[in-house]
Amino acid sequence: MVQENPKIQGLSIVLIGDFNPKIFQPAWFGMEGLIARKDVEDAEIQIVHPDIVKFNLKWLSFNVTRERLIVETAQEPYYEVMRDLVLGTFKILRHTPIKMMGINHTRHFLMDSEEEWHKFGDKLAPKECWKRILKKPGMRSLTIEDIRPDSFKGYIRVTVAPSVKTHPGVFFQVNDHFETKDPENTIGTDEIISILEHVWDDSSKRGKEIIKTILLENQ
Amino acid sequence: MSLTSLINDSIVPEETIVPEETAVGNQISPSKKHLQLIIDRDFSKELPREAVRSYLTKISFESEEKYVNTDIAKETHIVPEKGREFITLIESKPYKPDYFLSLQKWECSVIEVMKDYFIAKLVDLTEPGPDEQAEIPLEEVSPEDLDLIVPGAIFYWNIGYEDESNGQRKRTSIIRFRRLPAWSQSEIKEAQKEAEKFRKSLKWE
Repeated sequence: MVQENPKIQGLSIVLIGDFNPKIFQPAWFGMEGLIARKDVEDAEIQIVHPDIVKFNLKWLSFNVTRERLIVETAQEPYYEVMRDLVLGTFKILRHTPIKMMGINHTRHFLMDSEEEWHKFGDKLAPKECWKRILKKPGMRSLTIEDIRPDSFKGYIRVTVAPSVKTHPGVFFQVNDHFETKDPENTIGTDEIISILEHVWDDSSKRGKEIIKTILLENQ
Repeated sequence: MSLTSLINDSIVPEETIVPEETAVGNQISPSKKHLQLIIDRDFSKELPREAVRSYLTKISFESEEKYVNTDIAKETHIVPEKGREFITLIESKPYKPDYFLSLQKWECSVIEVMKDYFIAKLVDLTEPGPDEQAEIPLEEVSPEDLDLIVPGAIFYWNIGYEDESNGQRKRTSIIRFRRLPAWSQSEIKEAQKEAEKFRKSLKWE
């Protein structure tokens, strides 16, 4: 049996586009009123460079290069706060070309025993055919992709793997991937920002539902 | 490790490093200097692409596997070439957040602000249900967010367990107010257009 609540969970938003990393400093977010002054003061800045900026707040990890921006949080109370930070940021920087977005839901679940853990892996990836040629096959990672259930361009990708955070445990990720209608010619943030505003609730529900179903169906 | 311990100094000029005062790892307390944007540096040399990528793969709290496109579970095992760690940065604690398990979660909007409390409408985000109303004492809100308590303001209220890095679990209530930039003229016009469309669809006189 797997424990009902995840041991660890998190959420990340990944944006692909053309960024100017140097803008994204805690001080800038503070000046724009997007984060509290205390957050600015407590920020741990790791690097500020034209090619990469990385800093952590108590509730957020922020990482941006010229092509990619990643925000992550492991604290559920801040999921919406993080979303608002992204929305607010790109409502201000509205001429930044952003062509893709991923909303990534992650969970680590603790299993009751190693036996259950192996059983779960065997159900997801049966080993019969592998045993003919391999000595002791084990599932390292499994990714399944699906078409989007809505009208947006993109896909949904679900990854299951042994957890590196909790043992015996299993790691899930649902990558809700969106693209603009014409990624190579996208100008500005409007399209992606609009997608983020509209899909948030559905994406959260879908992420939870997919993970719950895979867990329950394979026990 | 010193602040400027760069293995390959020729690639990253020293002046591209953020001021020492900001280094948490050096036990310098956070200061108002964080409020200064770093803009007056000479960033003439571009970092090699692999250096940027190698740094990206260093810290993630969720999985040992890394990034391809927007999927953070992939692009695994991209590590810097042995012996060539291009950018060694400010010594800093890795991102090891406290974990929080929400038992109950609401999205709320402020209806009315009184002297010591405010009245809010609560929409349950945990389980669908009827909207509720609550009186929330002002002392429940962080001092910095007090200015944000105005009618119509949105905030998120979470009640749950927080697992601290020292292993302790505590029951916690967290209120965070929404921080978004003011609406632009084009957004206001767009909203007015939407409202007009909606009004017409109701066929009210």
